[in-house]
Amino acid sequence: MILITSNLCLFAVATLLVVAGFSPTVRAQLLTRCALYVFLFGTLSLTLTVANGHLASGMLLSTAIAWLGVVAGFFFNIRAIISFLAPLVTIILLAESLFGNWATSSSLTSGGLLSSVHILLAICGEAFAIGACGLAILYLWQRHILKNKLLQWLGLEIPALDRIGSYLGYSLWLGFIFLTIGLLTGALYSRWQARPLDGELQLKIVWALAVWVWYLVILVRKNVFNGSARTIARMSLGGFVLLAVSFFGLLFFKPSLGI
Amino acid sequence: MLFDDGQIFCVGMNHKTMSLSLREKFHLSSTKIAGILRPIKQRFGYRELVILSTCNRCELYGVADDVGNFSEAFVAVHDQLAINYRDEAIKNRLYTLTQQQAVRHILMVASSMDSLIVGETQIVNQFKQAFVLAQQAGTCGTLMQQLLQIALATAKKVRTQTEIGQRTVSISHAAIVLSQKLFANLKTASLLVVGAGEMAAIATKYAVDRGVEQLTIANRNINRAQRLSTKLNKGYCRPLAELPHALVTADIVITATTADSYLIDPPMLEEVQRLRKNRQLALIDISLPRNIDPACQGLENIYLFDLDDMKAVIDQNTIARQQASQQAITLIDRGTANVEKTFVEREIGSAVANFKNFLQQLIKNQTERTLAKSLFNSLTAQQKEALHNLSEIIVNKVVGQVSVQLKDSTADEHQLTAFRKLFS
Repeated sequence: MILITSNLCLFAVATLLVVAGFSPTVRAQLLTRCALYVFLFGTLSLTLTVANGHLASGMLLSTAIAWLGVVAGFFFNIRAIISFLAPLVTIILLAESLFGNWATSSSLTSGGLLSSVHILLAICGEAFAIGACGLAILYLWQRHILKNKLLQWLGLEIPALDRIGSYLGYSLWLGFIFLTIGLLTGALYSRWQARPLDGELQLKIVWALAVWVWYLVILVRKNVFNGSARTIARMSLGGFVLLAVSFFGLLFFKPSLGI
Repeated sequence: MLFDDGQIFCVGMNHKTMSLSLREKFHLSSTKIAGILRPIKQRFGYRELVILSTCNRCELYGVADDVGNFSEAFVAVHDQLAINYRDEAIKNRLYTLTQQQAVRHILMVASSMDSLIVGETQIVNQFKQAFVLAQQAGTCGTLMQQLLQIALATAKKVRTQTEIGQRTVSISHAAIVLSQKLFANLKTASLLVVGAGEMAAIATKYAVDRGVEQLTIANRNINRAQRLSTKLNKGYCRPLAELPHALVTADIVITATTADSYLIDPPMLEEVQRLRKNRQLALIDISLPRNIDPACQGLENIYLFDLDDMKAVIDQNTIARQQASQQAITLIDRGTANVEKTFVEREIGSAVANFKNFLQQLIKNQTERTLAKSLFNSLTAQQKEALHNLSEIIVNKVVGQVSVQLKDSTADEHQLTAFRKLFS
């Protein structure tokens, strides 16, 4: 619990720094840079916590999201995405510490290899879907600035529209692939266990399928019908809402399920 | 001023004092500088010498023992190259700065605050290169080395702690800034320039300098477009009638013609966007009257910017620059004070070391003379050793006390000067 609280504090500090640095000035850019380093420190701490055996789904998901943020911030120079991911990780950790069911935290290791692969892939898929949502927000934000000529915001460290658009595409593809394999391994696991699905589990599957179908629709729209980047970004936001409902909804109301 | 340990000087000319045609003549290549550093240093008896020559300035930085006519050295640098620019008109355009003023100027140059385009970063490398050449020629000593370190640290602070480098003030730059918000990599973006007049030429050159590789120039007079293309050694020319076709492959469009009606309107763009599969397109209209119908901004994936937008970016940058300049000047003043402090501490250290040697020698001589007297013949070797140790302890105590007092009283210039004169 102490570990989760300290992780929570680190991400909360990163969030505060990001909010304080929300301005196109050099001082603000310094704050954002500080936020990025606190975020990195939080990510490392979170990874250590998970490595110590805290394998609750919320912890795994926030670790995956945090690493995605670190990669985006340090390797792809998309620092602005931290302004979305830091608060999100904070909220997930907060939800985990308040409502998380610690009894399910060992599900990653208790269900055998197939179950572990299923959980890890599903979490990676969700993390990429969340990353896509972050990129979608950045895209719409940058587009809003340029379309409405809010030129005083040009100094914000948001990448160029074409770059965000292409990263959004990659993120959607990776998220979709992980979700697909996650669902397949989940189905195999259920078949192998030959366990009848109870009502709660059916609800979870319905949500997971809904999310998967939604991302399939986005990709078809993007790649087959040449959907505009704005539409894809908006649909990615919709996908995040679905994910959030499935994650937080299940976590709050059916805690025994986790994700 | 506390640089008693030699005169730090700066002599030269820059874009503020001489026209481009004169500056061209004073320009020195690295090879030439490497060849003249040592002869000039020896001829004028300078302790240290560095020569910086860029397209906007040619300056000599150095340390001399006395105040002298430093502009003679500058003229001599060019004399050695068989260039005779001794006439008074040119001499009057040279500036000579010494001590604190010279240090401040050097810091201003390194921080790009004295550049033609304030905030440009090229000067840092040119500055480093000048010092490397001097080191290789053996004309750069400890004072210049320390000055270089502080100048580079100050330049870094100015670059990272102020917005001076991020804010330039030209229409071409504003156009590129806006384009880069849409297309991160200008090398892979295709630029279409409509027009081949002066404005178009400036904007195109700026864009090409910033990395644009795929260039198309569309103009009513194709010969003029070809001339511009030849001048830039880049680009494909099309007549204005083929503008819709040219738009299909373009990512960034800059219009700069004198046409008195719109060249690009929403119906044309709708058709073009259909062929482009709705890819995003940056339209930058720097012409007056405007060449692009403002209604185009309403189309999906079309981003239109006109002169007012450029002006807004420039105005914003101008205000930010004024604030940033003040911050930069404060940093440079701090840097100058830092140089002064470093040099003073260095001089105090050297004077204190001399004082210590003086005391040690004095006590050693006196002790030996005293011990040689018959009165002390009965002293054992151990007792004599104890006396020597005692004298050593007294010297250290005295020197320590003096050192502390000198460092505490750095503001008392007279006290320091007197001490340095006595023991340097």
